Amino acid sequence: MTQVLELRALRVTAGAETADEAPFRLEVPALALGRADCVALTGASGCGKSTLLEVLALLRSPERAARFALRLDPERPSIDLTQPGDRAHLRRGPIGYVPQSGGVLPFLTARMQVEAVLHLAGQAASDTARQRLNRLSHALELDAHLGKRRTELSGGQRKRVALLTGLAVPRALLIADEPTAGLDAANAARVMQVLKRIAQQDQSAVLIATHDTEAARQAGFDIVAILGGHLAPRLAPDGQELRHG
Amino acid sequence: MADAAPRSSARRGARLAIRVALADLRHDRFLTVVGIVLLAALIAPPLVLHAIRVGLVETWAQDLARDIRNREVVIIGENSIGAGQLAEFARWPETDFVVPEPSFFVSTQRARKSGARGSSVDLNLRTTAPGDPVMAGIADAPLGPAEVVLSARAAEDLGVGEGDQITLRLARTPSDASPERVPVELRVAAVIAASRWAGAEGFVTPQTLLGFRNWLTFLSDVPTPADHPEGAVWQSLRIYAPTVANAPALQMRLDQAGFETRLMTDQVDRILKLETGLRQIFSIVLALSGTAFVITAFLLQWLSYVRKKRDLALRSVIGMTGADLTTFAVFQGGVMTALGGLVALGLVGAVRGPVETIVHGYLSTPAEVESPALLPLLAAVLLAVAIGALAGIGAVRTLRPHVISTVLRGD
Repeated sequence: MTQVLELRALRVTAGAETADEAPFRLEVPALALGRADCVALTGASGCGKSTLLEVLALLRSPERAARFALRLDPERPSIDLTQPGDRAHLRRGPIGYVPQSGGVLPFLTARMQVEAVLHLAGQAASDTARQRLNRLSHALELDAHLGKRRTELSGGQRKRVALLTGLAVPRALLIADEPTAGLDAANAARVMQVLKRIAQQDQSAVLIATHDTEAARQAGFDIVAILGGHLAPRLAPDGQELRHG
Repeated sequence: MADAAPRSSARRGARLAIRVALADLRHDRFLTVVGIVLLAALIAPPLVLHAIRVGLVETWAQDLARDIRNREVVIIGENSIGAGQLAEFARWPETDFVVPEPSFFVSTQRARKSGARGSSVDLNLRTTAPGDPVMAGIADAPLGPAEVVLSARAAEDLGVGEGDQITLRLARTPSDASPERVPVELRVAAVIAASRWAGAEGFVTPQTLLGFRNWLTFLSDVPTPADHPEGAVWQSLRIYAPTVANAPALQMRLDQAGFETRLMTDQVDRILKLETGLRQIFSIVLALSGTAFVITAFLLQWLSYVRKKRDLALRSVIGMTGADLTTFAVFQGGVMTALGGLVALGLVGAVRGPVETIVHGYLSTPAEVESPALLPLLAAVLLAVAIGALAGIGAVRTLRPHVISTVLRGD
């Protein structure tokens, strides 16, 4: 299977504010995500789920990594993400990231925010992109709220607008930090279904962090737990152990 | 071709950054307006002061420069000035024109229109000669010994115009006889406009006045113009500097030569003091405003950054690069400062009215008030815009990756 994301011997260190304070450290011996893979990172609060997602979304750098690569096209070489530099442009297209909270800009309407993403991806004028946007907006029940600004949206609506922003263009790797947190059960289930469907439709690797392991399992996500600063074996929705790499 | 996609992507990012910057300014309109007003309040004082200085000092200076009388250095009292000294004065670079004058008792005579009845009026006679700046364009041809050029006021007092004759009534009193009076006819060769010479005077050649002196002092029996005035000793001068600004230097030169003098107007001195004072105030205000402006521009951008750090981080999340965020900050900082600058330029325009009122209080003749050159003002505003943009860059540069992570989580 073609791997979209490959990680080997990655270490992330974070959190030491003072010299006396012990830094938080997360070791990832290996992690690979293929096309249409859906994986849910689980673990107790503070175990490093969000930190790892931020590293994968190129919002923070790992302390070290033997391999950290993104392959967009099986026929072309992978992109080495261990090299330093501004990688924000990758978040215009191949990598989508939905933050845990506050994913809506205050001065734009929801539609304008999503269109900004289309603009950055060079798809502002694409009918296909617009149709996709309409479909997703409908699936997330946001049709009536796209003209609203942040202050006019409820918490759950903001969460879904942030998700719509991340889903606006097809991604090779879609990362969502607790996409169902704060949502009612029906909306949470709807979001998980949308993520699963998008993974299939776009052949994207979808990686989420969640505390709701059961909901993730039910939506067909593999489960990877973070325990004691290390990644546990990857489990299929039926509980069967899978290899990471 | 390989670079086309990144370039197009960069353009898209820059366009979005500008759109987002404008949307953000509109959304945060209260703080935008407050920021613009603050920046304008800091840019405006030096610009307004500069406009006042130019409007007041330069218009006044030009008004003074237009009035030829302000170039004259007035000799106080009576002196003994020979031909050699006269020639020396004429050679000074500070001298534009010099002509000798006799004693006061010679130059003040009773006069009236020839053939007219009624009383005579006092007419003060000054000397003139070719090159006299007061006569330029009015009586350029050398004046004849039986001719006089009158100022408008003198012509009005006498009721005469160009080509008319006036009669002077010279009077002398011998020690052993009754007073003698003799009429002298002079043709009015020209009349000087009041804007050129406001006093009530007539101008004649030195020979004419020398002839009067000879008769008044019993050196001759008739007041005919002197044939050879070269050897005469004179009591005073009409002496002019080439420009109003040179008049103080000419005065100093004459003072050093032993004359008691004064400038025709003390306005030259006043204007120089005013200009020096305004320049000093301008320097202080410029230094204070400049410093405060730079601090405020950076502070505004930094406060904006602190308030909107999370939004900036979110922009990075959706794919805006460091260059896009810099464009955003540069554009916002630049737009705010440019608007502040425009408000300040508007204030410069607004003070034009009061400046005109002040200036016209000083002017001898109505004149258009000088405006400051637009280019330096625009350059100052552009510099301010550049500082504002730089402040934006400074603020956004602090958005490091770990900061993005922290603010996204709302820590």
